[in-house]
Amino acid sequence: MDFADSDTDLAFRREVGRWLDGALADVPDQEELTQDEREHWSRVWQDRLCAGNWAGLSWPVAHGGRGMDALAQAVFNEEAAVRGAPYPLNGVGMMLAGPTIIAHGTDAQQARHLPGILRGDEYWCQGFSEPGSGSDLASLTTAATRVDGGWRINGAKIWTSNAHNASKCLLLARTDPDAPKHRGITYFLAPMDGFTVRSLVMINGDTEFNEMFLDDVFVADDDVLGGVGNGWTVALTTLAFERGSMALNLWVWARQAVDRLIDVAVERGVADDSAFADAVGALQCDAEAVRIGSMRMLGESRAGGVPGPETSALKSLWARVVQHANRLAVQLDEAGGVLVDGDGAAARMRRYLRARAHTIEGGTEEVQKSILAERVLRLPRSR
Amino acid sequence: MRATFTEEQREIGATVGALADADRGTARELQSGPWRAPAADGPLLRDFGLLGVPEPAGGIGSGLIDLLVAVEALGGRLVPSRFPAHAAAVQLLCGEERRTGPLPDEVLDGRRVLTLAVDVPGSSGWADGVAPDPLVRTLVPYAAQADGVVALGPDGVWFADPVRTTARQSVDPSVPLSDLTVAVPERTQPAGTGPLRAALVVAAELCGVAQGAIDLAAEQARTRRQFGQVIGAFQGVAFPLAEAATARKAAWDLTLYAAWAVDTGRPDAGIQVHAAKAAAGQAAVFAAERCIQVHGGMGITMEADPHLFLRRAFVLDARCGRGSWHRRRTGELRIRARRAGRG
Ligand SMILES: Cc1cc2nc3c(=O)[nH]c(=O)nc-3n(C[C@H](O)[C@H](O)[C@H](O)COP(=O)(O)OP(=O)(O)OC[C@H]3O[C@@H](n4cnc5c(N)ncnc54)[C@H](O)[C@@H]3O)c2cc1C
Repeated sequence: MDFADSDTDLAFRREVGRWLDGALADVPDQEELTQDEREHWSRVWQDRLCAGNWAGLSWPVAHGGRGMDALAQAVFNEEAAVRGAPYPLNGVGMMLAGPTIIAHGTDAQQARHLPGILRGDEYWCQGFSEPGSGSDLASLTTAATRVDGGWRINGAKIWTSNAHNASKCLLLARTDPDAPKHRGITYFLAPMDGFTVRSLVMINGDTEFNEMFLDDVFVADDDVLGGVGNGWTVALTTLAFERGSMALNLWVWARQAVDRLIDVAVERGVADDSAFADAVGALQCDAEAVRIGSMRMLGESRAGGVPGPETSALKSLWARVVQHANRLAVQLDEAGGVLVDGDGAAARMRRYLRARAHTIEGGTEEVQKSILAERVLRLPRSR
Repeated sequence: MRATFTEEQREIGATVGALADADRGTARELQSGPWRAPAADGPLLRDFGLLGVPEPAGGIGSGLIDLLVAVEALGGRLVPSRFPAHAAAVQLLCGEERRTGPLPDEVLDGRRVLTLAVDVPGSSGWADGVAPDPLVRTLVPYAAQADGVVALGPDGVWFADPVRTTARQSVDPSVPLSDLTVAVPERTQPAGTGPLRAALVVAAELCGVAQGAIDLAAEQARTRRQFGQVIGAFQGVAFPLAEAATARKAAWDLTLYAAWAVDTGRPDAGIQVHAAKAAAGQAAVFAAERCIQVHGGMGITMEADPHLFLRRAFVLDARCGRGSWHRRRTGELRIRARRAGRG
């Protein structure tokens, strides 16, 4: 077992690092910005990724990409995260839509949708969750009915990140209400004309996600991805790409949360307390376990294996580290998180509240545990 | 990135696992009466003594991870063999292998069985600091069953001459423990990474214990029925087991990485070992406690196996520095590194 980069990996890492250092030179620390400012830099960053030909890093050359593997993509994301790069505003397009369309799309669909992602002028969002269907995604009820040349869609989507910036949507809708719940779903590459998008305010005041209302929205047959009734299979592909894209980001975010916690403790003069060392020790164990577990997972997938349920364990550990570190940081503040008028205190509270989402977004903590119970411990299904 | 087990490592795991399977039940038999060698003891000492031994110390190019894979397999079946303690003692001597040269043949081929004297009474860390009595060690496993003792002190490691051995009552009688007073050493050799290497052997066994407890608990959760269904269908039963599996995976990943860091001489090897030992102890104790819980009243009986995992977990969590001490060291080193990094 060898945890070192191979020479080729190392050379790539260096190339990426050099480009990132240049491209990030004028980008401010994202942690200090308002949401509007962050979105501005996310857009600028997306443009720079496209201009630098990084947007299709792990897409095949035939589709305008660089033809590298998922590990290369993970390394790029890791190096960007280490440097505190903005989150690219079309992450869903580059990491989810593109790869899913490459895996399941027709030639015509690929020709129609992929160039806009590489150019950076078509942003995507992921319209999976609904008010009545979250963890039980397959119970979704947004209804698509056959009309001439396509489908008329009615229903509501919710928690859709970045829908307010997007023009296209990875949309799941039920095309056969009589089929078993996993079989009656179809995956659409939907232009968002006719969608009503309303922003939702999160508990930290930001507006990252939205609700969307679809009233008689028309989607053409050409925009059905992977065949009518195959939506669940296609959706699983997207979810796998979603996990893969974060493969080497989670540990970076975990480490940064611990770094920030230590900085606050130093400021407050409590960094030498043994109780604080105990807490940091526990966080460090979990944070490093995320990093090492991610390397093992990528090693396995490069060796031809399929990433298994261990991704659920990593997600769970990551969420715990960040939530716990951010809570401790808030508790170290002057009034333990009660007075949020100072700049630092307000930012820390904002981060703490944002981190509460980590055990909900991308599959809740309970769903991760039930996956582990089922697939690692071979216990009966409980969801 | 090639962070996968090699073919050899998989084979070691399977071979030692098969040996260990034949000794399932020996930990239970040794809960009373004097310690007797389980069947695997001799073969392990004879045939696996070169695992993890660096070449300058007389090894044949096997890395530390090879040894840890073998020890993990033993931990999972609670095999009460002297091999892990012997291997840890050997590793204690391998921290500066270039300066100390090859180990005696009879140690490497298991004719001379070693144990390690590392922990200091009344202290939770190992004996590399100032010890109240520099010649007293505690929690020494198999002291009466070993042919030699490797001790760790502030000045290094040495083959120690015991002048007094006091048998103590071990919470896990299949692992006899003693207090040891040793003679003043004539000379010591620098410990180098020896204590880190030894601690990783213990961490690997703990990861095995955690896995064994989880396997037993999951088996019970799949078969015991209440309210008309198997109890594993209840999330209140299933989720803590999922947590145990997550903690065990974290500990094993940390242990493997730390071994790689030690073997390749990385500067962060120290903090990685502390993290691994802390996480492994916690994972094993947690898994064993959950295993008891899943068994209900049966879990509270001497007759059932879950308590055996808890007993072994306690003994190993305390060996080569208590888990709580390793956790605090992990935190202290992390805080120090961050401060240094910020200037
Ligand atoms: C910040 C953020 C961004 C998001 N972005 C997107 C996006 O871009 N696109 C998108 O489609 N979705 C998005 N989501 C939605 C996310 O995937 C869902 O919130 C999530 O799947 C949970 O669904 P829910 O909110 O309906 O909660 P529910 O499913 O109603 O769950 C409520 C609670 O019940 C628990 N629960 C449910 N079922 C079980 C069970 N069987 N066993 C045990 N416990 C159970 C859950 O764990 C949770 O604690 C986002 C969410 C967040 C927070």
